[in-house]
Amino acid sequence: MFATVFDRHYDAVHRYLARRVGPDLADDLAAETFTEAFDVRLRFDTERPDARPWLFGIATNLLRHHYRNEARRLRAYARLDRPAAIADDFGRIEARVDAERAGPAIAAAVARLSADERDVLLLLAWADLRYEQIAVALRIPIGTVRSRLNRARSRLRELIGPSGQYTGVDTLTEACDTDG
Amino acid sequence: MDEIDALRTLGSDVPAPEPRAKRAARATLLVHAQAATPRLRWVALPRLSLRRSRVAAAVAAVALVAVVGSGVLPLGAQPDPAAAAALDRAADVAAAQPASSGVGYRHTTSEGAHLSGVGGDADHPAGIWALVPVEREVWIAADGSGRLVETRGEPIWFGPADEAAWMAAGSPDLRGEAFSDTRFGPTPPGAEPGAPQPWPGSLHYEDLDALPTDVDSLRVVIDARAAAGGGANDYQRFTVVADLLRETVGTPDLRASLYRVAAGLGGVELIGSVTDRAGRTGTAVAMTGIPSGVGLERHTLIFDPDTSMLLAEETVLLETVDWLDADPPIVIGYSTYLVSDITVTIP
Repeated sequence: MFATVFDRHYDAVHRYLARRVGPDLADDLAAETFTEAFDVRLRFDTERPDARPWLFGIATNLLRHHYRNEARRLRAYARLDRPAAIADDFGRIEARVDAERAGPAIAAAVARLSADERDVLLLLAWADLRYEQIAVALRIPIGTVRSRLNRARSRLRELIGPSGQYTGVDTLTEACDTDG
Repeated sequence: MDEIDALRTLGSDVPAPEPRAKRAARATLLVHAQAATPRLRWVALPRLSLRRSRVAAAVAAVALVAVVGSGVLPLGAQPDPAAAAALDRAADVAAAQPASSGVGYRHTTSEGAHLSGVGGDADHPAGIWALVPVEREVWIAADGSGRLVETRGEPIWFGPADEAAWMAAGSPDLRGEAFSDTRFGPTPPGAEPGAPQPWPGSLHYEDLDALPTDVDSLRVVIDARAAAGGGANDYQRFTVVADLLRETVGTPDLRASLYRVAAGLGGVELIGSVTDRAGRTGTAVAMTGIPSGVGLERHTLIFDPDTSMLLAEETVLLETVDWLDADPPIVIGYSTYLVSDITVTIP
């Protein structure tokens, strides 16, 4: 039964971890996520409709020991200067280019968030969890999910500004030199 | 494009896990599983009653007791003297209470409903949204151990269009599990010494003892949390105060200081005496703000003026938004706190 959980969710958990700390460390943490999950499986009905909040909660908890790696990863995103992707219609190309232009500034701004707010934000954006799933993953009330997310998004907007450029007082590199 | 869209592009090209890594992880898990003996004993827990009638009653009451004020206050407004006075009175009540014993489990029982959505299609690009009713009972100890029981009801639709879209999309899951009952803790009941730790991190425990009870010092802490590393506004400060009142069972001194901080926030308005969804009379104060990605909304806190305890909270969307097919003002979330106490044991 647990093998089914592994097969169904390993790729998604790995992908989330890789976005946060890079593929190499993600290999280790994804494996650790599933061994931790196995240890506590008796407390979780693996036939529940969705094990994702449970697994992403464990993965997020493991990430707490690796914020230096995450800071390095965000620093790499902040330096990113990527070409526009090819999309299948002009509008989507435009939107994608806008999003990618803002990416480095977003990365710097994410680095300035508290660990709690960053976790909520990235579980939404990168793990595609809904509010109530984030509440399950982090074991916090859904109202607290909302308020943390609201603060994180406000802070991002404040740091990025209408120009789409990072507007923090520190440099992009300094912004990412944080342990959260 | 908003900041979440931009964030989603970051690392979107991260490579899929190497098959070699996946095989290694699977092998690690297999070895781990073979080495592990079933040292944890699963304790079957009695299933709590669904109490559908209470959920249904609460749902039916959504439209009737939505606490909507008379107008929209501009951001950055001055403190409302009437709201400040009501909050100061609640602070005085709290300050006069004897210190409670903090030993044991913080226990909270609540009922509420929260916004939940699933991704939309070409006809509903902003998603399909509904309110999902939730009954929640939680016990949390200082070490993060405890128990969480949640019962979720059927989605409550804002209108027929959302429900029709949801059915056309194949009725994707909106509410999660209908019922869950999970125990957390570093020392599972019945576990042998050295048994594996349960869910890492366990329940989130807000260490209220680490917070200052002096108003000025507490305001500094709230500022720092509200700012998320930058400059805070009073709406964000108000939400931090709510975070610290919600499911925390703080000491009377701390609760008093939280109310005094709230009394000094610009834009807090007094709604007045209201009846919450459990039929209790309380004093309501509200703050209007624009959380990113949501729309102009009003967050209301209802507290008991005689005990200073938080009775309920509610969020009302005040403006028409492109992601929700509903006419404002409309309730997009609420919680009613039925029990907040300290217990020595978990049932």
